[in-house]
Amino acid sequence: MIKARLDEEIKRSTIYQRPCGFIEVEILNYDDFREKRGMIESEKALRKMAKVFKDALRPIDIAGRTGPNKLGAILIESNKRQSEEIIENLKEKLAEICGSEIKLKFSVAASPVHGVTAEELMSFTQDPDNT
Amino acid sequence: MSKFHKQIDKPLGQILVERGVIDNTQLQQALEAQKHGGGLVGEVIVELGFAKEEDIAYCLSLQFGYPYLSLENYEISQDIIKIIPKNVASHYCLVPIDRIGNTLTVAMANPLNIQAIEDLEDITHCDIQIFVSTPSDIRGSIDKFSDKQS
Repeated sequence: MIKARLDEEIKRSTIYQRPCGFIEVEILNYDDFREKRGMIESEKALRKMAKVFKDALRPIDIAGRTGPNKLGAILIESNKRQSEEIIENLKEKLAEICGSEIKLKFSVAASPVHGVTAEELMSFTQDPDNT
Repeated sequence: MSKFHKQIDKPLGQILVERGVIDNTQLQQALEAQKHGGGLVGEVIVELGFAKEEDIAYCLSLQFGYPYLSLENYEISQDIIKIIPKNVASHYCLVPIDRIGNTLTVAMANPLNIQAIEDLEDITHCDIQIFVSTPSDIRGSIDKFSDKQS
């Protein structure tokens, strides 16, 4: 779902010679956390994170779940630098609620610098080297 | 942020009216056409025949003090053209034309696109110096010189 929206937004931003950012937050130890705390608690933690994640974005940005342990957002007309600023803000806010028990990975990609399709941006964020 | 570029919030259409390139009625027509057909306001104004690409580039040059450069007979070396990936150059309608030390000179159709300049700074780690050129000249140069890379 979010992939299709990202493709649409990249196409739209290309017409207007604007960038389009994509950010992702992944809970690296989600399976361990779920095993330790149970499904209900782990989903509750993810929902709490999702609220902080969404609140850190602008109303025009589009947030969604991009995997069982991942949250993603399309940052409308944001370039690499602006997307990185949002990630830095998110790191601080999520650290406050996650503590040391939940390990997070943050990644940023932006069109056209890291790719010109949703597939390319999502592959970039999934690359372990691009955190 | 580059010491060469300027933060300007005024829309291009308003600048063109203020400089007398188009009148207010033409701007409203262009904005209406843009609302229905999309595209950049500068491109719509050219498509509607209200101004030429050169008029818009020259107006931006005068208004903001960016030098105007015709790329028609301009040769860009392979070392320079490959500094900016072709997809980035095409997306933002710009082309690198020279590099002296840590200063990269770039011809842009829209020198007011600060996000594009920030991306160039991040990609090249250079200060960006801007010249204004027409979209046709820039696209022509990208096609002509980038194709030599392959």
